[in-house]
Amino acid sequence: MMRTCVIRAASHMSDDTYEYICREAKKKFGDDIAFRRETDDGLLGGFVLEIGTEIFDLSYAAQLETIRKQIHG
Amino acid sequence: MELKNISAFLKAQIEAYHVQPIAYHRGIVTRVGDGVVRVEGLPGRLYGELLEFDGGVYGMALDLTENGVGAVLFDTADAVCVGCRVRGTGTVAETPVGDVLLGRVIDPIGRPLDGKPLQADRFLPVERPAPAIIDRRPVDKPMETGILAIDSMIPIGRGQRELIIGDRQTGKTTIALDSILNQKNSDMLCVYCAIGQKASTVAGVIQTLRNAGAMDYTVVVSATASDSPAMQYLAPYAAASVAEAFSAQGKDVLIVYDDLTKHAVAYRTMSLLLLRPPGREAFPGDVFYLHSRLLERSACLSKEKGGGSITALPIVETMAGNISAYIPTNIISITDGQIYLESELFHADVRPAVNTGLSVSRVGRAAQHDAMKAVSGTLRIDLSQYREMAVFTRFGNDLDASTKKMLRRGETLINIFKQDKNHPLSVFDEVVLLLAYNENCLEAVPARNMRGAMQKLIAVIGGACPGERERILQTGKMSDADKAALTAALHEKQEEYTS
Repeated sequence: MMRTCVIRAASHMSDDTYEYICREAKKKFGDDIAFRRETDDGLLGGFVLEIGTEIFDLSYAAQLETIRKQIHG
Repeated sequence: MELKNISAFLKAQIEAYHVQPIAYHRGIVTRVGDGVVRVEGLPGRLYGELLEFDGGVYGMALDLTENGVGAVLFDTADAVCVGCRVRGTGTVAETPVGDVLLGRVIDPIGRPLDGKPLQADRFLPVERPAPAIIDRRPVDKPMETGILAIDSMIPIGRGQRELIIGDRQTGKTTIALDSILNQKNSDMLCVYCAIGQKASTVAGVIQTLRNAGAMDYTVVVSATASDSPAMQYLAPYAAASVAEAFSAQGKDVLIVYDDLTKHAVAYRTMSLLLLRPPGREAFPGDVFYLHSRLLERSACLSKEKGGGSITALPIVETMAGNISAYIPTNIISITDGQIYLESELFHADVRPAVNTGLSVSRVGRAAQHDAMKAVSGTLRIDLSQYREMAVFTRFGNDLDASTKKMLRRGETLINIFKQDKNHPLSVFDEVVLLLAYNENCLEAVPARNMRGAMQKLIAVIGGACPGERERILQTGKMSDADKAALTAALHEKQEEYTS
């Protein structure tokens, strides 16, 4: 069964970048993946990759939140 | 850090910062009902882990299965719906601890409830293991409640767990509150944990504490009846963590759980909704462990561990005086004694309505002040003899002189034990009152004048014997010379305080 992989970015992503991410994701998770792209302003920058129940968050919003937690404990 | 180094430090931190992908599993809510949700996905969760739902709602994972997680919500379930996304936080529920909490009112996960911001820098998990056997020492210091009937006959030591049990409206919370108020000039800190109570009752308790200036050394942890069962379930554990942080600093802490019946009911609600098998009275199988692991956290720590202590006063409400119900018997067997309050006594104006026959303290006698030991030796036996005789002679008029004397002494003692709420007595006051009883100085006073006479007695004798007063208050000991001086003063000034 094909798995769905959602790539969410803060703004519209260039096709080159999108394809690069798809290639890398296939290398890591296998070929049976259908990709979909979405935009989400809340991410501020960077992107989030969702595959099944697994999330890989490389957005600026998440990074800033991590820094905030490190500072406030 | 010096000011000039800050920019260098920041630069180094920024240079060393690597963007790491934040990887986690996401779950999907498949069922919502009564504050309990079923989540699909989310492998590898911890028991008791905090889960974050869409919309900033938090819950706690309590049922871990192969396909998903059963969780309870901390907030109202309105924001959570089927299809909602859930993420594990990797941490178990935590509560803020430390001196910043003194005078504050918080909920079990540390959100302030008194409208002021809370800047806490230390957090502890809500569930923590009890101190090990090796880290404990025997209870040997008294925890004065300021209530004469308790300090003299059912003494409580620092590090003891003493249950307060009785029907509704018998003065259970009052005893606990008086104990907190009495710590005003001592070195003890207090934690009051309200579980499943009416918000108006909790507001009343806080007002009483505030009016008496007791909030300066007290923390209130509250989960009221309108909070979710999960919050009510967590409240006493969070309060215990707050107390443990103080006791780890070598301080003595008094913690009141008001009340554990409602805690058990909240846990039953959660367990039934999580589809755990019901047992006796529909409580789940681990309801004993629920309270035993909580109360085991109250202990007297060894010198190596700082020598602090946590004295627990759990409260349990009975139905129609039935102390052999499930939860009361469980907690009676866990604690080191109980103070049993009776409706009949309460309505007969014997307040605090302590039933001395059914009340017991299994450790406190070893921790009682020497001065108190010296004057309270025969009280229990006097009282039980009086009660027996009072029943026996209820319809009889022909009583011999010794029986009449015993009845009169018993009545006097009962009247001495009557005490207004929110008026705890000092050790000296208690010792002098009992000395007056032992010396038969108050027998001539009619019952209706007893309170006034007792107040006068305390003032008169305190004024006449300031040296003795100071020694008893400072050391808790009463030498033979002190006793002789106080006895002489009691006889000498009898006219003054009995008139």
